[in-house]
Amino acid sequence: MRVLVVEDEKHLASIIKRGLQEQGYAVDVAYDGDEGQYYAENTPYDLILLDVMLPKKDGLQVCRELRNKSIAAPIMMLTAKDKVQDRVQGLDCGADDYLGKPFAFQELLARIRALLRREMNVKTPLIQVGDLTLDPAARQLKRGDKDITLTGKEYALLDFFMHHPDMLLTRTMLEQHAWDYEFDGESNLIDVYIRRLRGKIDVKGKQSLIETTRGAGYRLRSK
Amino acid sequence: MKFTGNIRLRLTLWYALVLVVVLLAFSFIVFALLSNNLNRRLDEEIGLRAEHLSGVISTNDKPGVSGEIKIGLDENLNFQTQPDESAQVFGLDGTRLLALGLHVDNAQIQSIVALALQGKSHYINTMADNGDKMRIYAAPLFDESKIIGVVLLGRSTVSVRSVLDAFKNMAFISTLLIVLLAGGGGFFLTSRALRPVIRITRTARDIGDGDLNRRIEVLDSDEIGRLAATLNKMFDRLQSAFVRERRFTSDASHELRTPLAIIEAEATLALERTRSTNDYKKALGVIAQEATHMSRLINDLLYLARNEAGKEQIAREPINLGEFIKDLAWDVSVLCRRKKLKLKVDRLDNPVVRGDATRLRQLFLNILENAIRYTAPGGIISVVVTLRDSIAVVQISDTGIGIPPAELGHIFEPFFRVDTGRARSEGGSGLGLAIVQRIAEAHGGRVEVESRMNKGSTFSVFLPVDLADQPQSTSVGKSKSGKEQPRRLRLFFWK
Repeated sequence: MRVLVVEDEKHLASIIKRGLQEQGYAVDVAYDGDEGQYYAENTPYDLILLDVMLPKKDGLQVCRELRNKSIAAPIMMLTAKDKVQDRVQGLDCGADDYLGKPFAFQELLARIRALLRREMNVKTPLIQVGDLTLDPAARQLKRGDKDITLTGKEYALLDFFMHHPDMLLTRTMLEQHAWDYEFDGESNLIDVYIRRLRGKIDVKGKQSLIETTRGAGYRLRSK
Repeated sequence: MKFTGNIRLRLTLWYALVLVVVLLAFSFIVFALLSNNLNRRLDEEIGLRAEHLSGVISTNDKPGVSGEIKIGLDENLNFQTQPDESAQVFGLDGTRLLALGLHVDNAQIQSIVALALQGKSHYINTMADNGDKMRIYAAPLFDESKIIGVVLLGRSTVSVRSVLDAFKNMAFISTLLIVLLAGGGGFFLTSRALRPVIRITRTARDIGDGDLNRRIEVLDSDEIGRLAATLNKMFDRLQSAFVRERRFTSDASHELRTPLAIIEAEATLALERTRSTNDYKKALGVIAQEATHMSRLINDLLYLARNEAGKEQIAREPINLGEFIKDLAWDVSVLCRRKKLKLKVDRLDNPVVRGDATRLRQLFLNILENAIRYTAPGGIISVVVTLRDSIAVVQISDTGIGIPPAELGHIFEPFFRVDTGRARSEGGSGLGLAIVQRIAEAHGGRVEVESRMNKGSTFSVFLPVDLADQPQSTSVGKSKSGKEQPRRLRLFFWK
């Protein structure tokens, strides 16, 4: 899952980035409205955290313009302005959620999970594909009754697969959603991670859950 | 009904009461005059009639020994009584010799006849035998200054009384009518006069309830119109003060929330899982830094709030401004060196001002910190201290990024920032220059700023001095030729 953080307060932006990365999200940070809008228009983010009071162009304006350009990524407003009127204005200009500063990090994470869940029309907090069960809140993966431990990047990759079961995911898509702009782009890194994932989730003697479509990408089978 | 709460009713009632009293007094006086007049005329008339009667009574011959008069009671008596009249003639012995018209006879008559026989004419009110109220006049009848009898003439007072009764009725009815009409008219007029007051009250109540944009319609330029205009002006001032206050509060809460947000995010993130000592140290470092920033912000806010409330006591100790600025320059030289800035101090004069050293230090530090913050490495910050016509001037110039002309008028407003993001990331509270201005004003001085984009800014602080405080070496005359100053000093920091 790839997240854009648009926040002019550098300290806060770096804390959010650090916290989200720990959860396995790929995070890019923009420090003003123009930069944020440019990032959002050119990368398929899974979620955008948008401050309201930004230099150059305020968050409400950025939000409206992104929606006008049919960019549908869920947007969460993040701001010190938290009067009812401000929240209404924020939601009405196209944001999906509104979180007032200051906030507890746990709440930010829970709201992000909720927004991502809503995006794929899942209401339960657990994501299930075949006999794989993912609990994003606890970051726990199970196959049947067996617990599987994943590293950060493995988790990020599998999380993306689980959100898009039975869909052909190209290497570019995986790259764009699981890595941020700091990723140096060695394309075979994805293959390395896919191999590690298969080693952890597959059962010996049975067909792999992640199948390869030669020359195109990978697919997570639900059956 | 509560009369005290209704000016209209109260005014009308008072008005009616005053009118009733005035009209009653007037009627009473007129009645008295009228009654007096009518009675006097009646008396005059009776008197004349009595004289007339006396005239027509012929005394045939000298009265006899008995003093008897012979009165022609025959047909040749040329006297006719009116229907409401009574005419009587008595002889010296009090016997009635003649009685014409209404019949009146009682003890009162006897007594005035007796009086008249003694030479005293007299008026009385009495009653006729048929019950009519009568006015009676009795006068002695003379024959060559000798009393020979009494002439008595009476007339009913019914005509006088009917006039007076008619007047009484008329006065009562007209008083009632006038009071009713005037009261109704007064009520109507007061209502009309008070209608704008009611409108003003309603509008003022709406404004009081929070609709600050409303104003009273000014329809006329009369007293009420002027009241409305005055109130409107007051509402304008209140509104702008209120808006300023609200913006200040909202800005202050935003400024306080930002460090709070960082503290809470950092702390809750650190607690999310078990971490290494190093990670905790980093998190605590961020929290400590933000806490410092917050406490500085709160101090600045408190200073502004105290200053706003007018509670700030400014000390008035003599301060040698030249020495003061030199010491301050030493303190900020570290910051300048770190940013590779050159700092120059020119003390052309050494004026002594009276003020609060802590506050003045804060004033100049705020300006110097701004200069350092917005000047790129390699730039120059120069400070010049002079004395011009009993005003000490400290000019602090930088070669920084400058302030856009459109923003120059706002920079002394609390929380105003030329670029919303720029000062905060450099550690400024957004209150520095507001505080600078307040301190200068509290010392009776002022601050001016000139700036050119990308060339730099100059802040000039003007502080009044007391000439009696000035040291001998810095007289006003000498200061104007600054080049002759032997104590000119420059400090250079260059790395």
